[in-house]
Amino acid sequence: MAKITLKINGQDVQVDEGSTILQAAKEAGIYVPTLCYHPFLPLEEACRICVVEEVRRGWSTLVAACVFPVRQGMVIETDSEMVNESRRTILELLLSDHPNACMTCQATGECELQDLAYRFQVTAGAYQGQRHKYPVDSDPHPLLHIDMNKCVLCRRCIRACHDIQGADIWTKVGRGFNQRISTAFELPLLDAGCESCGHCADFCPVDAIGVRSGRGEVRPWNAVSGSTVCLQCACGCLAQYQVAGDKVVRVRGDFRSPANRGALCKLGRFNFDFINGPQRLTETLVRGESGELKPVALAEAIETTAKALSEVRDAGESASIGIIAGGMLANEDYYAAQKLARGGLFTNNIDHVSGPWQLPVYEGLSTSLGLGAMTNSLEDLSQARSILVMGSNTLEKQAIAALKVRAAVRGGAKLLLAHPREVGLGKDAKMQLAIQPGSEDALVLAFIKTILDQKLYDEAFLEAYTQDFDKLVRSMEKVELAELAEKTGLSAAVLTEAAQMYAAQRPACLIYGLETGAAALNETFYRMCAALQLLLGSVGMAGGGVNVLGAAGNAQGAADFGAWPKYLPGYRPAGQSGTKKMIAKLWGAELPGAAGLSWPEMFEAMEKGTLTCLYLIGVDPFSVGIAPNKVEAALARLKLLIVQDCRKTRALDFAHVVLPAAPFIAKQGTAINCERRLQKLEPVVRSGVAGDFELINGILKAVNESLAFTGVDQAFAEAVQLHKDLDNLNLAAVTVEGVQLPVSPEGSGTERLGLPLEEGKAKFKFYAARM
Amino acid sequence: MDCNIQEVDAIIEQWGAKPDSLLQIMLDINHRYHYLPKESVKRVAERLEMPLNQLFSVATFFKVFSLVPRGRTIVHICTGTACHVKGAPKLLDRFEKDLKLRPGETTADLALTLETVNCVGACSAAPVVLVDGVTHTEMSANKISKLAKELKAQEG
Repeated sequence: MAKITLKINGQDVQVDEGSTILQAAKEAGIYVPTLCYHPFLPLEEACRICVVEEVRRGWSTLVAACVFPVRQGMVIETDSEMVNESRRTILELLLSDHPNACMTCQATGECELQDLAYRFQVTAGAYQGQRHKYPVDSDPHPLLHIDMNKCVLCRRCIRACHDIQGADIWTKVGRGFNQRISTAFELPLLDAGCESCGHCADFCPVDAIGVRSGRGEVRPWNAVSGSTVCLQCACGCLAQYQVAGDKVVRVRGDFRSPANRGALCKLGRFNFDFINGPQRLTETLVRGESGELKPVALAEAIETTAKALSEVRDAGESASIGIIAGGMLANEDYYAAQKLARGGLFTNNIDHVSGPWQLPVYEGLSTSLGLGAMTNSLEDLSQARSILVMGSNTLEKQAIAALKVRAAVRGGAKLLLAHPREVGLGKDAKMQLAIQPGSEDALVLAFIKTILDQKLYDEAFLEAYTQDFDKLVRSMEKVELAELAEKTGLSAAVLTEAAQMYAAQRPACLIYGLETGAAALNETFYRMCAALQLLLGSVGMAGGGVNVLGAAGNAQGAADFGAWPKYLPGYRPAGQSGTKKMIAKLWGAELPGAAGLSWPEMFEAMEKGTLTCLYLIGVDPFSVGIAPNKVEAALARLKLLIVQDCRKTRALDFAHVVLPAAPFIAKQGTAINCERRLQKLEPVVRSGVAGDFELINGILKAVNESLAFTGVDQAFAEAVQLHKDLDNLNLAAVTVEGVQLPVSPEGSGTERLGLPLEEGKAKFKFYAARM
Repeated sequence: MDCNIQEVDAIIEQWGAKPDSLLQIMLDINHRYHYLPKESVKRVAERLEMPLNQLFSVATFFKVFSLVPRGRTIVHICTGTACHVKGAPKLLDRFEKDLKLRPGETTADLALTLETVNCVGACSAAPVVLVDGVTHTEMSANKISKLAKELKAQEG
């Protein structure tokens, strides 16, 4: 790109053509104040606080640095008398219609207007005139606090609402002095369709749009901020937690991670009651002779647990022990848990809550596209030209992916939404397919059928990258569209139209959101998804791919680090003798042979009485989708139930040992999001209780001391030896941006999977007969 | 006046259901109903595939649009400098006395809406009153009283 040289404050600066003066100044380390400008929002030029002087021959003019492009030979002054006077006037005018009640304002200390007024030493009162008088707390929104008297009309909220969330709720109303920020027809936020993402509050430079939590209780300087990865869904957003004592006050998006680039969802931003609330579990309890749970010292509880488990193992009844891990654990927690099960207790009965949903993804995709995970990056989704969204209510369950879909739609992509119910993405969809629950496989097959029948596939791509195309055609001959239409509950005509729309623009992007509790589709479904994408030549490119969004926060990490019954860390089959030998050598312990039970199978075994010891790590058994009376019956039959959690659940009523654990924001370790991004977790709060890793490791140590870890880092270092996609990754070298699996020996990640290799072409793994 | 969706659709068809046509469509709807009924704004947003909040922003930005029902006839009394000096406030007072109508208000039968305007560029003929765009020059309190009677009679 052509370079442009200009002079800023007498200093020569060279920048790319098309840069703004503000970008040039930043590059040169020269301060230019901003207010309406935000690096992660489109330009608006609303406030003019960034004015700089452009000096021409004999005269000069003021231009807004945030939008004004640089020109060869330009001469800019950022600190001249003319500039500073102008900025002061702008601030005086802003303050002339502002409450200036900084003493009680929640934003004090982190208010951009206040900082500017301080920097330019501007006080209120220069202009006496009309002021706006809006009601304080004018909206009944349960999470947001609105006080438009403080608004500076920077319109960041409007841009965030449009460009990041795509909800289009906030808008500017009226003009001139009467301009204000409100909603269409000035409805209350929720009535206007607000999705409660809270981006407007994040971007508000003042306290016009703020959050309710912590209001009037905590000053910003009394809170500490730290960033860690949110594990409430599989998107793995980097979030900044403002913490006072052991309570979370506020959560903001962190712009440094490519996973979310500052965006967060309602859950990530506002759902921290389980950390702050009265449901927090803090006491170590053991059920005594009398049948009551009694507080004990942690060491004693761990010893009791280990002793009981060891006795069962030593009696040769390892198969009656099971471990179920939750979805919000760190990779090292999963690794330690499966090591405890396999190495310590000689059983493969280890699973994580989303295991039954993730397993077919792995088995379907690893055989067709190479790795059992989302093929593309989240950011890639916004490059799609046509999109098929299936599965979960994406906007609620994996919000960041939904936001990227909306960005693609804004760019002209056509969205097909297949969901039995009305969901949030519906307003963005070109076509809504109200399919029968769980009939996604029939839908995808109908798409393949139509694309084959009407020859809508990408012949050049098929020729170059695939084989066995004729086999696919032959197997599809037996499939009847009418039959598929009946399964989906749609008409054949609608299916054909949908398939044509999907195939019309490329890259085509297939998204399937997993949801625990929903019917799990088998691995054939994922192979069909891969086949569909290969037919359309939409694999291995931005905006294409098979994008399966995980069902839980660290579901991908649980899979990679071996917390499931069929595979050891690195997807090594549990029964394979070579693997067993290799791991046995590494651990110094014998490994069990056959694959273990998945957690639904464990519940069946509990009912039958063949599984008698259960260790729950961060799982509420009453929220996994099994009928409560069945859960009760199963738990009641257990001889030993160990409940380890950060919050109280109904499982406590049945527990023999209760171990309080720290919430995810207090953890050290790593996690992997749905786009295979391994990111570091940093503790942002002191929790006062041990983390899951310490607790599991404590039991492991008591069961078999030689298996125990010296710390989280050692667990990670041991795990990466077993996982070829991690290739001895050096954790210290991983930056805040994380690294996407598979990792090369040099430590660089893989943004996109499934680009078929020249040799050993991608193979259609497709068995229509099994439908 | 109730908003007729078929009518709105016809207006949209006339200009084409694309964002570029937004202002023309809104002007036609505003002309047809003397304001922008809520249902019509929603319909236009839907058909043009534009967010409703953007349409609302446009509708509140231009003074020509109204979101509340307005009269079939619109009276503008100029309150510019010249008209003010030559007695525009008296015209407003008389209008209020005769028709119980203040600037920005509309009669209950939706016959008349009174607005003020800051200047119509006919200062030599001040004070000026516009009735549906027709200029009445050198007005006085009596003249506006007569005008008010005529307007009432027309509707009658």
